[in-house]
Amino acid sequence: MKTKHAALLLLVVVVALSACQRQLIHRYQSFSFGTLIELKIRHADKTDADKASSQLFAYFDAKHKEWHAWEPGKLSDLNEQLTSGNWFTTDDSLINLVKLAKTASEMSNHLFNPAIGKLIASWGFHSSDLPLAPPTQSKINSMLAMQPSMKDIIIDGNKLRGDNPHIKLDLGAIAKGHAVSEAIQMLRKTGIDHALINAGGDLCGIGDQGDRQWRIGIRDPSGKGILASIELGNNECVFTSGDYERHFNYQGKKYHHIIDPRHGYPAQQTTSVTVLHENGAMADAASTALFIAGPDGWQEIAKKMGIGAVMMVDSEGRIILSPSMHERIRLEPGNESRVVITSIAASGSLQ
Amino acid sequence: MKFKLRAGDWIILVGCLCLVPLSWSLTSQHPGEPTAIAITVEDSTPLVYPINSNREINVSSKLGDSIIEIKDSRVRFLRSPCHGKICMLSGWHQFSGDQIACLPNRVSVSLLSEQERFDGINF
Repeated sequence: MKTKHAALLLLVVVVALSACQRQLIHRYQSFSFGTLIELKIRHADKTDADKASSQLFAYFDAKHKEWHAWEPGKLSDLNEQLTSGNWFTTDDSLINLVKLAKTASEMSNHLFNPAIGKLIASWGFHSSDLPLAPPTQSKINSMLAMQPSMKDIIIDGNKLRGDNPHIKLDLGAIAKGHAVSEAIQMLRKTGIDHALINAGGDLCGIGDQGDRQWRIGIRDPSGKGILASIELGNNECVFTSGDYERHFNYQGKKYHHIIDPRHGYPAQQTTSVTVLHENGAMADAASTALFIAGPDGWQEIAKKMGIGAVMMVDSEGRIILSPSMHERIRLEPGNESRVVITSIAASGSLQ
Repeated sequence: MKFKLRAGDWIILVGCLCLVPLSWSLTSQHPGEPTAIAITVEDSTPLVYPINSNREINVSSKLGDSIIEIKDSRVRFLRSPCHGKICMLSGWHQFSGDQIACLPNRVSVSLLSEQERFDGINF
């Protein structure tokens, strides 16, 4: 009888184990931060997961209002005060975000330049609706002549001052990444060790999915299915910037939202850039900076920003991989012939 | 202490061992292929539809009506009242774990599967 009991117990255990992993993943989603946020939590106690998700979505809602690029909030107040040239204070979370933006901007040789909010607005991207036409060349020239830069923001402890009245911060290329990383820390503090946050196609994960790591499909920028997949390590983010996100067509030409601060027009040589990094803010900013740097300049910026894993799809459809990304990524069949592997240390034109 | 398995024990053990690959084969025949879609309006309870049945689904939200089309185990926004039409321009979607959303109208479509090939889609 004992062996029969043992065998029955084994049966129960095996069946239970084969099913338990997936049952523990709790899913939530909400429209927040100007996008659709999906949260997956692998945790034994659903009540804990429910509570954590509520806190997280409340956090995203609050930060979306505070950091919005063009609607009234703490960031618009800050922008107004920056133009005065006087010292002022704002809340710690916004100062921390501005500090991060300043660091990322410097590390990217200012290709990531969130101080060009006025230029972005002149393109019409400070609206829920897409623009109908690009700004005139003279308008762009006048915006470039103002030379707003993150160098023009002086920070001393919790005090800030603007040194250029033409600064207008648009933190759209770093705020979401920072918020997702902060949300991951919040989850950890509430005892959640395994979670995946998908904020409108940019993802950060901790722990794993159960029987494997969190597996992420990377959409082909052409819109034709999946280009590749990658498994996230513990506490790792994958962010992509692409020319297909917000764009409009004018007189047969496509204009997207990633503006090169050097000439004031959308960066032209890149279709998408995907990066891996442990910090969402840095991943967010780096994907934008490398997109702007383009196929001939991304290596230098990646090295300076401490980004090892990079995938770039250029305007000719080539898939440019850093060696680190090449080791990690799994391309979908049929894409191998498009691949060029380039060292981060390399520089100059691709052959 | 020695255990001696009897015939019945062997039957249970063999049955048990057969159940494992059987359960795996049932759940992993086509990883990545969705079995259903879930349509969510605002933060309401999702409406779930099988993806193997072609149909057009009319969804009402704050800006007006959207039409979600399911065809040949794929899904897309066929019509949307939003201005940018980004949801429509994103075309057909066919991988489980993927999502399409019309942000201005707050309508989302998630592709579901028993065994998802991807836990999320990056773009």
